[in-house]
Amino acid sequence: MSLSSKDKTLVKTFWAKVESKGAEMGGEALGRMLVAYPQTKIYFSHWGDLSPNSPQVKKHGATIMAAVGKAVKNIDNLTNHLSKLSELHASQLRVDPANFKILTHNMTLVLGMYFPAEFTPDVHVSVDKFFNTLAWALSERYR
Amino acid sequence: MVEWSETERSIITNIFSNLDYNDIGPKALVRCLIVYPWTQRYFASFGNLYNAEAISNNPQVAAHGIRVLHGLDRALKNMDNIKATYAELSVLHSEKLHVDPDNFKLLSDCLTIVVAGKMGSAFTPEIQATFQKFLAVVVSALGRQYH
Repeated sequence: MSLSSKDKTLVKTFWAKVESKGAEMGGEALGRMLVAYPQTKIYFSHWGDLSPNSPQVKKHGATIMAAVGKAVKNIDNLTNHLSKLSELHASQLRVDPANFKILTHNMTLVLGMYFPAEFTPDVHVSVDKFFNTLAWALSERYR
Repeated sequence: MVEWSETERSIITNIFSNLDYNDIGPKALVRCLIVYPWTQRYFASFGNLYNAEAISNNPQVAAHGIRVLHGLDRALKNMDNIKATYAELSVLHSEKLHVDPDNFKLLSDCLTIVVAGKMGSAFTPEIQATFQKFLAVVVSALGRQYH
């Protein structure tokens, strides 16, 4: 299920529209994940406050979303572009890659919440494929 | 048996009492058929599913979306026994309709996203967690009779 040129165009166009809300949406997505999927909290046990309003959660969500935005700009070369981040997640953070799907589900939900008119089914399928490809690239260095 | 707090019960009841079935049902099924096109395999008799526009305008898809959403009413009315409530429907989906049970999760994800899109910020993280728990129990019950 690789990205067609239509997918890439849809993703880039959509992202240009939503980028300004990126930081807020990132915090929202991460906060929701920690509430709806409590098992993901284990990766952030050092933070103390894991509520959606926690400044650390909001900041980290923004960081993640900014990285996703950069990945959109490098959509033709995701594996190479994400190589260092993959290395980080694999050997230092050791995040089980199954969790990437959980976070991207929450990102998808937040996109639909913030941009119900723009996040049409057509855009949704391309974004879903992009998130899958991104998760795959992020898990590249695991084994 | 699945435990439900009073808060969780009222969250689920509130979501469904404020739900426009005729709007949300079709939107959820349409989104599922477009985002996960392999799910179209179960609807060959529905006519034109050729592209997103055709799917979105297909009256049989819309009608079926409404029916499926009303199917959740059974769980709503029997929250303490969802497993037994769906035993018959589970047999139907496995023996007669031959639906891959993985697809139940795909549809429930689409429904969650459509409801979130409708409710906006009123769909708080806590409400999301409760709604997803509810749908997960339904999905599990529907998959039980497969063997």
